[in-house]
Amino acid sequence: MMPPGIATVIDFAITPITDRAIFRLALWNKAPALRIAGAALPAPCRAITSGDLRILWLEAGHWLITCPTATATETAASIAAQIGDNGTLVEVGGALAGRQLRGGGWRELLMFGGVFDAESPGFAPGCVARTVMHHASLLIDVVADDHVNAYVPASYAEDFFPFWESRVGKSSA
Amino acid sequence: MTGHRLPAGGHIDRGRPVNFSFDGRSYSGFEGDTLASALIASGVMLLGRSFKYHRPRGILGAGVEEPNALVTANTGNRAEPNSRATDIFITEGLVATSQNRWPSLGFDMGAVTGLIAPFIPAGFYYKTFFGGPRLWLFFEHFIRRAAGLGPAPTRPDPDHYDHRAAFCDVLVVGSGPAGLAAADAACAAGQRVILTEQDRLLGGSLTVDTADISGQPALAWAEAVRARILANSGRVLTRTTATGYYDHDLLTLIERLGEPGQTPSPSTAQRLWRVRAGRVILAPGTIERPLLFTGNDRPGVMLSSAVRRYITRFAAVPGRRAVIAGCTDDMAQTARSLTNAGAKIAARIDTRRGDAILAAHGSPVAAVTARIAGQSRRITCDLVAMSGGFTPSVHLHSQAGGDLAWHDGCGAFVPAASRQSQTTTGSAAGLEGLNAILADGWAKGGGSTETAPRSTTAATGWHGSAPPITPAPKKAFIDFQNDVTAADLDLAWREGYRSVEHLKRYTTLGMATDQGKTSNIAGLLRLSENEARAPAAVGLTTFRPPYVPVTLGVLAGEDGGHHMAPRRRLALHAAHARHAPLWQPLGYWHRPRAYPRAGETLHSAALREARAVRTTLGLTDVSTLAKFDISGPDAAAFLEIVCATTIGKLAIGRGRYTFMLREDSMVADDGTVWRLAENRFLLTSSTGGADRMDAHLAYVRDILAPRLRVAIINVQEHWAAFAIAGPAARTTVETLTGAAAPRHMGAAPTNVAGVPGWLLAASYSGERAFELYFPANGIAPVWDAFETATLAQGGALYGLEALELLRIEKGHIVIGAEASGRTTPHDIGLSKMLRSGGFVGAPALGRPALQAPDRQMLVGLEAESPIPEGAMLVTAKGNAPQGYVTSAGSRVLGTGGIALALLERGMARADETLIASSPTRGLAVPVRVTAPVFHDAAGDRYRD
Repeated sequence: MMPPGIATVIDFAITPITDRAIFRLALWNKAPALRIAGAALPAPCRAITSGDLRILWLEAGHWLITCPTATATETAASIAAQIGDNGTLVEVGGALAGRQLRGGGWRELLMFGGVFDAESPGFAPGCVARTVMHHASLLIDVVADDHVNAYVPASYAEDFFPFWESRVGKSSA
Repeated sequence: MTGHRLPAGGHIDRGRPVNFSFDGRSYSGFEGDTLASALIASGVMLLGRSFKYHRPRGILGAGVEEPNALVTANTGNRAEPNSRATDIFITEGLVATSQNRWPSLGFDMGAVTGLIAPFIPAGFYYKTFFGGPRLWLFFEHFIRRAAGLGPAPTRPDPDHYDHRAAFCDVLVVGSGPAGLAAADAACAAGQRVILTEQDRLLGGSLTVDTADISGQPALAWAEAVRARILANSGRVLTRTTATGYYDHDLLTLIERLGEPGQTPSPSTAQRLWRVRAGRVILAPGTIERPLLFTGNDRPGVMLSSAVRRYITRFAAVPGRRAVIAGCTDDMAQTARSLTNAGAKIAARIDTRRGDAILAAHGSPVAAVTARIAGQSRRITCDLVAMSGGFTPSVHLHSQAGGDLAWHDGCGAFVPAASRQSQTTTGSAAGLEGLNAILADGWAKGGGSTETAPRSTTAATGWHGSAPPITPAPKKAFIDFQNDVTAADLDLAWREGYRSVEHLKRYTTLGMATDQGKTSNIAGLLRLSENEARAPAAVGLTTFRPPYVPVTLGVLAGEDGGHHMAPRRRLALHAAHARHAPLWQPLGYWHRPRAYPRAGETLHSAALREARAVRTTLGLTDVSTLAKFDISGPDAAAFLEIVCATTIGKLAIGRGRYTFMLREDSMVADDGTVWRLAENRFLLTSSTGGADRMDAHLAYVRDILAPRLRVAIINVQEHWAAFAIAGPAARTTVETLTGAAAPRHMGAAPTNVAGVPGWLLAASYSGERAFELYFPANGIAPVWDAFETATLAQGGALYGLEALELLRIEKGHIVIGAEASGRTTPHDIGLSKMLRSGGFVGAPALGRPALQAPDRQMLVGLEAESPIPEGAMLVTAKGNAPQGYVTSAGSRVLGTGGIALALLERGMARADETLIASSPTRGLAVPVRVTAPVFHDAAGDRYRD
């Protein structure tokens, strides 16, 4: 069921992220000089792209890694080898539902139903944030000025994303 | 002048007439009119009836402070009661209706209460409505009928609302000269500015009184400021009222995107902004106070500044022959406006010289009796413009925790020390004179003195306070909306109500929808006079949000109806929906409660499903269980801290039941733990405790055992899961997985329909059972295969209700019922599984109170008939309860009721007969105390 549709936000398109496998990397050794696919793990609140991988910092010692579904098995094996005895890599693709937001309106979209400052110029490409929006835990990955990927727990997806879909193409009130 | 409308002037668009109705009669105003100004222009002076005495009331003010002119805007489910006519900009087709009258506004039967006013003084309720419960129920009927003003709509509100966050360096509340100057200065300093104004126009007092600023007309300067803010990526929000100031400089703003009664409603009627500001500059201005005289509430008696606002802002003249009375220089401007509008000034009464109005006569007002130069005079008039002084609006400053200081000049409190990042400027800070106000606002915004905007307009003072009047004149109102007179306050004081907080609640002073904006200071001054103490010593009541009444719709925002709470869906939601189950909210989750067939009740469906599990096969969704992937060289050591049972000795591929304690040694949660590899475990726990367990595990890892090399990953949502249970479970699992099933409490990787997962041999039902875990985004085909196989064998899908029957019969505890948060492992029969120590909660287990033999402990109950869940257990009717029924059900294959209960001395009372008593349901069922296992106590049905 769609939420009470409110005209609000302009200039964005929303599409499901379906072709990416998702893993969670957790390290129990605090600061190994670990490189994944040749890149250092991103610092807090940051994300990087390394080849086909997108690596997002989640919390101290934890990162989220997405990669093409087609190469997920090989990628996971490769990362596990690089982690060694420093941590673990666990598939969590069933836990998250993702949407790609394209267009300059994503900042205004993210100001509704939440408490996060998506309009801050400092929240730029390469930034990640976790916040609460429409009651759900939301993970935001700023890929480019006009492109963010957003993830919510899968169980919230059917109620959450209609809030956004209802605003597509509507003008700011 | 045509009627009460001036031929020119005002900030209204005469090219855009607007038609509306009030009490069923059609009127016309102009775009830019408020309902109040349009009615004044139409010669309507009677707009409502007072709450208690049903006295005829007109318009007192011109803004959100209005206590009298309350109307219901619109009708049906879009009706908005108690809307201030002074705060509604008319829209085409607006339907407004007066309130609290019957049969009509002009002839209101309720006005009879005015005749018995002497018998219903302050504290009438407290003095009258007491007695036994039956008497109170009698009174309550009438009190409830009398309560409230406008009728609340009873059907869902079709309008749309939303919530928006915003962040800024500087939030400026109020766009009068001080607020504009502050915003302009902050903007010039390169800061992100949000300027909010509750009016439709920027300017505050500048929309009423002509002035020049920085060499241009004031309103042109205001628009230039707006442009500069917008150009600097700031935001200007008109028709937006700051309603609350909370900790850490969080303010709520209510933006009206549509007017009350506007049809059609805009796509968003109202928006709630949550603004987090680096600094907050408050420039909310002042609110004028009434004078005290007999009949000061009559239609046609208005605040002086409001009269001026209607004339200059709306070109509507409230009267043609006016008496002006008060104690401030500001009255002179009102007199000038009236004269310019062609009205006659019948008298100017300056209370500072000892003159006073003694009484107003007529409804609407037709004359006043005044004391002028010691002589009593009757003066004919159709308008009284009164000014008892101005009260700085300190609401937001106080909500932010700021201190107040008494200001003798204002005769009111002004903001003093701040507790947050707020500062107050303009007249709200007690400042007089346009240039002083502009300079202060500019400075508060960060501008230098030399560059502050200036005006050449002559300054006018507004300080002043009406002198006390004793004894209280008859029918002289202080709180207009709640009909509180000066005599009421005096009576309350004589009866001992000396605290301003007590006085407020006893008399209802300041407790109406206007929250005493025009009355609180007057009431305080009255108490101060009676107490012979300085006003500052008497104090003020607490300012609480919201500053103005707020609709419930905007508080709910988008979270109404279906979206009132999030609904977490199972990965297999669609698969369940095919069978049209009854859904059960479980926290935010929605799970199938039962899958009733035609003609089945919930209970009969659940019983059929449970019997399928006992006799054949059942399939149920257990995806919502909490699940944690715990890995690392110290994973076992970590789990031995978390869990009260032995973990370290668990072999790879094996699992066991476990439970966790809080630090006070009460059982916090339970579940299973599985060793999937040498250094990797899967821990499950209850659905309802999932978030709590997540936090607890993080606490243990980060605080209690920070040196352990362990990683905890919450995989609750990644792994969807279902359980297959019953005598045919093993063969079904082996057929579909193509592998031998593990023995009880064994774990093995599996693959079904090409989807890899885990197969865990665990039973919650008391039958041979397996739990199968697959990634949530891949489980659907696996479920389909098992569903087909289950139904083909005559089995059934089973929901939470059957699950409950099965687990009660088996005697399994559930978190929240048997593990109530007040039970130890010993209380619920788990003590044999405890390790000797080293886990959270172990030290507190030795507390003497937890060893007491009379503690409530887990028992079973059986009866011939159903046992009421939640019933207390007593030895005889009227005796003290000795325990209670925690879970109740019926035997799955037999007859009679069974239950689990917590009972003093537990199984020491086996075979004793008690009464399960539920007075609220009128039930008293004899029960026999038994062991808390009713089915296969030895576990033969699921062990290999």
